[in-house]
Amino acid sequence: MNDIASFSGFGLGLRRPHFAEFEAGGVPVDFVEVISENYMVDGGRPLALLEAVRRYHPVALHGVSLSPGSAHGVDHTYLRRLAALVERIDPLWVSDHLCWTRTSAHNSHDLLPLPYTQEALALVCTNVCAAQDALRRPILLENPSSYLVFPENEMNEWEFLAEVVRRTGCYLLLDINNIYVSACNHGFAAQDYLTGLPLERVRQVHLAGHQPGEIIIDTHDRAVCDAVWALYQSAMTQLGPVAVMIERDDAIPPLDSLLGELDIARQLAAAAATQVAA
Amino acid sequence: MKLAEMQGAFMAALLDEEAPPPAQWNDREQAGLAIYRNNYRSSLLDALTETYPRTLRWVGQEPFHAAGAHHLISCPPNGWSLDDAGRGFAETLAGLFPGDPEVAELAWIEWAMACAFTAADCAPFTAQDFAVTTTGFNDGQWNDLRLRMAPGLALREVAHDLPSLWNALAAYEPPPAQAVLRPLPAPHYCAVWREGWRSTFILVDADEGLALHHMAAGGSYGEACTLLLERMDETAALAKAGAMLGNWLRLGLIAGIAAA
Repeated sequence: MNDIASFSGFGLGLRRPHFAEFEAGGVPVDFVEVISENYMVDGGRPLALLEAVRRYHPVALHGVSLSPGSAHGVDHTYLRRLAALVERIDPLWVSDHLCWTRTSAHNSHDLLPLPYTQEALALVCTNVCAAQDALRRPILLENPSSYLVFPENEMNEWEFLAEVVRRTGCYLLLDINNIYVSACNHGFAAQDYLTGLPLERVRQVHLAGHQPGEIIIDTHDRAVCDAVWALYQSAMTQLGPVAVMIERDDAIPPLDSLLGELDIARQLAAAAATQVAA
Repeated sequence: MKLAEMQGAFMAALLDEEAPPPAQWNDREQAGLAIYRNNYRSSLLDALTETYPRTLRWVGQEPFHAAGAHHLISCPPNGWSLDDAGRGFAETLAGLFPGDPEVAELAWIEWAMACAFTAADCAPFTAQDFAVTTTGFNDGQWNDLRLRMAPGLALREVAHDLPSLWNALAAYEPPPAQAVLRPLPAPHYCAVWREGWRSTFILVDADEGLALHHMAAGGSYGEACTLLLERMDETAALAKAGAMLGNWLRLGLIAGIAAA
C-alpha cells in the first residue's frame, strides 16, 4: 500500500452557497474538501462542478457512508462507486469516520458510536483493509464525536484508533472539535487523546463549531470556539505538516466569513510553529 | 452482546422510539441515544425537505413533516446516499392523501427531477443526426426502429395541470388551492428529463405519452404506431407518429438510435 505524502495548507469544504465562487476560481485556499457521496453519481451538474473546482485546487474526498464499523462488512457496490470517483478526481486522499452507519437492512445516515472492544477492533481493521484494497490506497480515518460510551468498552477511543492505524497502515484525519466534544461529554482529558495517537500519521485536521449543553452536540453550524482553537494550537505544536480546514455544514455564512476563520487557523499554526522553534 | 446484535438493537432503537434500549444502559447512555435518534430524524426530514420543496409548500409544513415521519417508519432508508431517503415518498403520499392525488403527482415530479439531475450525461441527438441515421430506411427498418432515451427520462400518467401548479409553488406563500389546481379534461403523461444541467418536465397527451412510454421501455416504433392506430384513424395516427418523433427530438428526449 502506498504512503500518503504530507500536504501542508489551509482549505474549506465545498458547500452549495459557495459553488459559484469556487467554480470561478481564485478562492484563496490551498485545497478543497468535498463530501464523496454527493459526487458518486452518474453525471450532471455536481460532477461538472467538481471537475471545474479540481482544475483550481487539490481535492480531498471525505465520506460519510463507508461505515467501517458495520458488523456486516463493507458495501462493495459503494466501494466501486467511490473507486470510480477517485479515478476521476485523483484526490489528495480519501477519508471517512471511525463509526458505523448501517446494518444490512438500513442506513441511519448518522455516524454511530462503536464499542471499543477487541471484536470491534478486528472488524474495523478488516473493513478498513477491504476499503484500502478496493481503493488501492490507504485511507484517512477521522476520530468521531460521540454522545455515549458503551459499558462493554475494553479500551479507550485513542487506543482503539492507534491500534487500527498500526494494524491497517491507514492514516488519520484529526478532528479537533470532535476530541473536544467527546472529552467534555465523556470526561477525559483532550491532551491524553492527542498523546495517545500516532500523530505522525495525521494528514488532515478538521475544525468546527458545536452546540454547548449538558451533552455537547457536534453541529458544524457555528464558528469554532476559543477552547477548540486553544486545543488546535496545542495540537499544531505536536503535528507535522498537515492540511487544515474549517468544516461548516449548517447555517453556512458567506465565504468571506469562513475565510476569516481560516486566517485564524493560519495565525495559530504560525504561532505554534514559533512556539516549537523556541 | 455481539457487535452485530448490538448494532441491530441500536438501529431498531433509532428507527422506533418505543424500542427499548439495552437493559444495562443508564440514564446518561439513554440521553446519548436520544441525541442520535433526533439526528437521524432531523437529517432525513431535512433531506426530504430539500428534495420536495414544492410538495412541502403545497401540503403545508406540519402535514409534510408528519408524512415524512411516516415515510421514515414505513420505508427506512437503506441506500448509502442521504438523497435516497426520498425514494418512494410519492407512493407514501399517495397513501396518506388519497383524496388529493395531485400531492403524489407533484412529489413524483420532484423525485424524478432529482434523479434526472444526476443522471448520466449524453451528447445531444439532434433532428439532423436522426435524419442522417434514418436516411434510406425501408419500411421494415422504420418498423423495427428502437430509440435510446435520454438518461433519467421518467414518465407517469397525471390528472392535473401540473405546470400551472408548479409555477404557482415557486413562491414561498402558495396561492389558494382553488386558484391553481386544475384537473385536466383527460389524463396526460408527464415526462421528466434533464435539459443541459437543468431538470425539467412537460405534459403530453395520453396518445403520445403511451407511445413514449412504450418506446422508453424498449418497444419499437412500429409497435408504438400500432398503439396509436388503436386510438385514432390511420391518417391521424400517421400524422401523430411523425409529429411526436419531431417533438421528442426537439425536446432532447432521444439520446440515439438503439436498433433498426
